[in-house]
Amino acid sequence: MADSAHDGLHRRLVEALGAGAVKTEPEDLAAYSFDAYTGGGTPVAVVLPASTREVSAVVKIARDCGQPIVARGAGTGLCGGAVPVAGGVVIGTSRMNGVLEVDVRNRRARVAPGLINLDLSRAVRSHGLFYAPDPASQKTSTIGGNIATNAGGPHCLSYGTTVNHVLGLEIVDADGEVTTTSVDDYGYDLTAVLTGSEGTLGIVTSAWVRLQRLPEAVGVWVAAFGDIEAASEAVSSIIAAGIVPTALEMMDRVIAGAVEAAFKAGYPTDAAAVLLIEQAGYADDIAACERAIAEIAKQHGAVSWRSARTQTERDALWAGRKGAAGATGRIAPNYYTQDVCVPRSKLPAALRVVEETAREYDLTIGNVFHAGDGNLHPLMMYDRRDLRQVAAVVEGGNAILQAAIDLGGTISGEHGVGYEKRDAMTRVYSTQDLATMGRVRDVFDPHRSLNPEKIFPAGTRCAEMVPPPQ
Amino acid sequence: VNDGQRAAPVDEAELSTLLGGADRAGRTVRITGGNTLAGMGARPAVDLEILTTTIAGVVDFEPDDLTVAVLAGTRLSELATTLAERRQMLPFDAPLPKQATVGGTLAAGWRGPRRHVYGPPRDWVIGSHAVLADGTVARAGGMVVKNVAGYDLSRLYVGSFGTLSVLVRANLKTLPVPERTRAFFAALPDGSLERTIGQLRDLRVVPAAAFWFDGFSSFSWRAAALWSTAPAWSYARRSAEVAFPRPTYSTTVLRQRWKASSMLTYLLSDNVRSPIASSRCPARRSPLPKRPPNARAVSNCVTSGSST
Repeated sequence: MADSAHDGLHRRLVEALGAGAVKTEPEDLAAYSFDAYTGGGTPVAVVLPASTREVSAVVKIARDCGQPIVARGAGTGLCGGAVPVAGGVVIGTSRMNGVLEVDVRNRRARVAPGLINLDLSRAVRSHGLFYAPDPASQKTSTIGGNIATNAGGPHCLSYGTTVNHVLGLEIVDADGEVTTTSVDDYGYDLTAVLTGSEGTLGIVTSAWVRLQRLPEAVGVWVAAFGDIEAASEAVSSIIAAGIVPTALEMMDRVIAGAVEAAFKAGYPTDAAAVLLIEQAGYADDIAACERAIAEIAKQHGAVSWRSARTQTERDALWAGRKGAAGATGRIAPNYYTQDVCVPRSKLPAALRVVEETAREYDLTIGNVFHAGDGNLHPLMMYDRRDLRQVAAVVEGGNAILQAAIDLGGTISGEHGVGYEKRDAMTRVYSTQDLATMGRVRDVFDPHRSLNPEKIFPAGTRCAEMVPPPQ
Repeated sequence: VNDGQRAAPVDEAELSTLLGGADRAGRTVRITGGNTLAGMGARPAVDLEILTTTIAGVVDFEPDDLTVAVLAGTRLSELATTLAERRQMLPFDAPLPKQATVGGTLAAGWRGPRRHVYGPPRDWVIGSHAVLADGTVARAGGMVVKNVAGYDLSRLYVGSFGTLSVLVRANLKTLPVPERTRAFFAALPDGSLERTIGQLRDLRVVPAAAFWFDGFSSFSWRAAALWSTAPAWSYARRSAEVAFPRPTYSTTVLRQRWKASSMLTYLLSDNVRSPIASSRCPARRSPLPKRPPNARAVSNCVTSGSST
């Protein structure tokens, strides 16, 4: 039922987009109140525009009505980035989901923001190309959402994160005007700062992205270790030896057990830690690469080494890895993923903290993460009906966050700051650092109407953050 | 040096004081590093020139993490030497590396020849310390290779020519040195540009850099060898040499197959994705595949290094 206070807004949105693209019933609003973070917030309206022009119209209408705007892809974000915590209008990009142009010669594509990540790789596969950033959510998450969070994924170790693959953007700014950026243009690299800005600087309505040639050969190997510290030391040694595999992932016994129960992917379940290693490249190089990495693994006490022989085996291992978070449903009804990143040589120390945290707070914590990048994802299992467990997860998650900072790391490697971690920003940045980011925000969005209450700590408006002139 | 028109601060705090003072006094400022790329734009008259060359040095090299933190005034050659000791490198490829500074190279957003495979310099920046025009010291990013905490201001500063801030320190990802690097060049007839680009693009290996030189007809193929010392090409060559303690680099002159009027030269780094892997496949040493001319039209993207 439409709130009468917003009748004017609703009427104008329907006029601009048609009734089918505007949702105002409570059950529709509820569906857009959450993403994959625990907290929620109810929007005033949800719109599903089909074009850049419609996005522009919505932004102008919302601005006139004094309503903030929250852009939303698939809602798979883990930090509350797409939650309308200040109400307002949610712009869902699900109808803008096409591959708009494929430029095979130059290995790039122009895509709409609502395009599902994996659909892009599928669409260009026949040209021998693929899109490299591959967050575990790639079966559902959208390119627009990936750009907003500068999403990572297992293959970012060698290919780089989303920002390395965005060549240009079309955005609708806070005034509803359409602007384009390109990394090839002279002038400021706005593409770089827009990527990862979590929808606070503009709304991406299309993007040129880089495509990669499919490698001619791929090796996928599984190494098992008797303890998790030995496995993390092996990871550090591989990087220190100057070997950067295409992907270097770790999972512990808790996760491997759940993954095997759910997928029968081919992971050993009796080992304390398992490394999933992939190297893509030239066919005649793969064997030498396997020997070098296997040798390092052996030096660190690997108890087994297995090579995936067929494409089916490789696909099964990856399906298990990417489905790991879902598989934890077999362990506990809820899980919370902490996303911190530490210098890679600090990985063993960081994992010790995770182990101690599990003991101290009496929690089951599973580790499945991008070891090669130093990007940890401790999955803390709990039951949200048990208040003791909820409190333990909050405190334990905070302890791991602080430990990562103390080890020279950061509060988020790839999931984003969003609503969840905005107050932790003050732990890694000074007032001046944050004020400088605030000044950038004010250039794009002086009224802070785009995704308000995100990234910046609670209670800080720009005026409060900028230090007084000396 | 501080004669009113020129100043050479020794650290971040002094730079902050200088900039803050100039801002309050309404004085205009130009920032100068190694002064090697000053020709890239007009040089307006300013009240104060600030040199960054006195804020120099590699402050934190973490070879096991493949990261390095370096002050803005550090010369590219000094950084390259430090990294080479641990068989690591950065593919910045700017001219005059003994004079050029890290800060200046980043401020100019210089894109060297090897950007074709390694991407532009901003892809290697993971954090920064910068001083704004009012003297505010602002940090962004950190020393980890993946970081989405806040806006990526470090990348925004790259290519901003000192108009947003003065870079004091850059945190960078480094790369393991490829096991081998080789350069090739080929003399080619008129009208073969598009076909050559098409063939280059479809090569089994991906060249790290490629240049096209027009107007080659007056040269013999022997003279072609001299091209390997041509200034544009030597950026890539020099950084390859810096990165290599042993002379594993070699130049191959291809047999002249046509009456030459243009020349293509390109650089192969063995397997960027897996530096431990070696190149044994002879096919990879054949730079131009022996197959019928490729009629497909291609754009200039592959040789985008040619103008630099």
